[in-house]
Amino acid sequence: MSFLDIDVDAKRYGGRTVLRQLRLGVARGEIVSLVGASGCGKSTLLAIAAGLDRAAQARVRLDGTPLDGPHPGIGFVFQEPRLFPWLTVADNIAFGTGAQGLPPDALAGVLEEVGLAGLGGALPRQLSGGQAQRAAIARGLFTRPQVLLLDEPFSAVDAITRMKLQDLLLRVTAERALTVLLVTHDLDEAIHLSDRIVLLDRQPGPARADLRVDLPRPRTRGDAAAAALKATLLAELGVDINVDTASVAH
Amino acid sequence: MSTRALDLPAPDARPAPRRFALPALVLPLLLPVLVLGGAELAVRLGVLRAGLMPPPTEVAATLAWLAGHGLAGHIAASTVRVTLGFLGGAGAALLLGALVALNAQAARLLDPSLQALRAIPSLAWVPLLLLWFGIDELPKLILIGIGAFFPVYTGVTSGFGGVDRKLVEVGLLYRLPPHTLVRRVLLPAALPAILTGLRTGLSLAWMFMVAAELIAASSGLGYLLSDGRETSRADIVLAAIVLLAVLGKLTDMAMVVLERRLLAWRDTHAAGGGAERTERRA
Repeated sequence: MSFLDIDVDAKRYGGRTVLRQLRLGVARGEIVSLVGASGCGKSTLLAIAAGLDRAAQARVRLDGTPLDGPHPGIGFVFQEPRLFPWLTVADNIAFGTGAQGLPPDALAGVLEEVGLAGLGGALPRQLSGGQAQRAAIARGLFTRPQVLLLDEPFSAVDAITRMKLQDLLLRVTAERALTVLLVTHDLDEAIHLSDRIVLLDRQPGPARADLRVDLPRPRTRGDAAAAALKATLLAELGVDINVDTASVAH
Repeated sequence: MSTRALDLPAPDARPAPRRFALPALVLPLLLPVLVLGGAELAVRLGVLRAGLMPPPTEVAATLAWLAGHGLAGHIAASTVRVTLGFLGGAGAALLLGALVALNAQAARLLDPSLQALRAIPSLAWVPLLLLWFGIDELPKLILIGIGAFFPVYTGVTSGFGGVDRKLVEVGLLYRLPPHTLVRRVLLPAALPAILTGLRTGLSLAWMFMVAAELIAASSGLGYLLSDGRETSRADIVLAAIVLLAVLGKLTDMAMVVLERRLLAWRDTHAAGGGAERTERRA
């Protein structure tokens, strides 16, 4: 039994089945990426894991305990920052703790941790896209979850910011011994971050492939071993690797 | 020009040199001053009859005279009616609107009937109110309340209905119980629409106050209006109109200040600009 266990019998949207007979386990401290074509149900699977999708026929277990709905041990970072525009950055980050009587030290610490020191009093509209996503990550971390789920968290920021945020994620994951399940479109991102990459098929059913990423950490972006792994992934995704491999990840 | 590759080749279309720049405060006053000055001049020259169109100076003199002859009482009577009617109507609208927006059963029960009532022109209630309640204070307050009710109701229901599902999902993720979800997520998110509804409701309350007082009253600005008409005193009518404009504008400005304070977090086009926001979405 894994630390986080997701077992989906079926998930339908209207008449269309999006997920069927899919099991996914994530070991304690592991970083797993979910990749696959658009519309294959990656984000739906993540919402189920977070307890946000109650209509799905699915079971989620955390450390062996069956979950019913959202659980404080599981943090979630959405694709968009989803900050409350009427709350300051600090109040947004502390949103999950009830806002009243929050320890200022913990807040300063997490602001520092995500690189937003001194911005606790700012309003979301004053933040750049990268800063807003840092605040969203801080909110996901603030309740001290054991598991962090991320739904394409870096897809809306520029390439340089994305790399910085990826490194931020790796740092906090190591420091806090987090278990991470990440949905991404970006194969380079999956290879850079993950211990395992799970490929979902467009046809609902069990995962198409489950690949270990045995590259040593810290990893260098774009080294030869990573390129070889990317070729394997692309082949699994049915992409002809003899064409320009750099542009097909999206 | 030659240093910037993207400059358009339009040698004669340089920005016009600013011949004169009107100070920001002057421009809004320009039109009223012209109209008032023109009216004054037209009467003095005999183009307009002073009996029908008293010149602004005479209206001002009438206002000064009224001030010593019970004007404060009329203003107070009207203001109290607007205040009570607005509080009653807007309060009921806030409660019912929130109920309809947050409870599907209540929505099915109440909303169709309220929408049907909304379709009735509010002034159509006047004869019925007079029949039921006579010409006392109560029918006036009810009429003002009806006027204030619907804009606020619409603002509340559309405000709650338009809250971004994604923000609600964040609230659910943190397992907020329903009442906390309302207080911490739905209410702040719906606040802009609710405040717009309140602002529109307040201006309609002033409007319906005049209607109520025109029909039957022995005090108030509406009474001054009808008294001026009956005694052929156009100067009194105009003085009352000026006062209504001033009072309506003052309360609206108070609402704008409230809106700015409560919604300072908004990232809007008008935020930070000097121009007063006048958008009315309800």
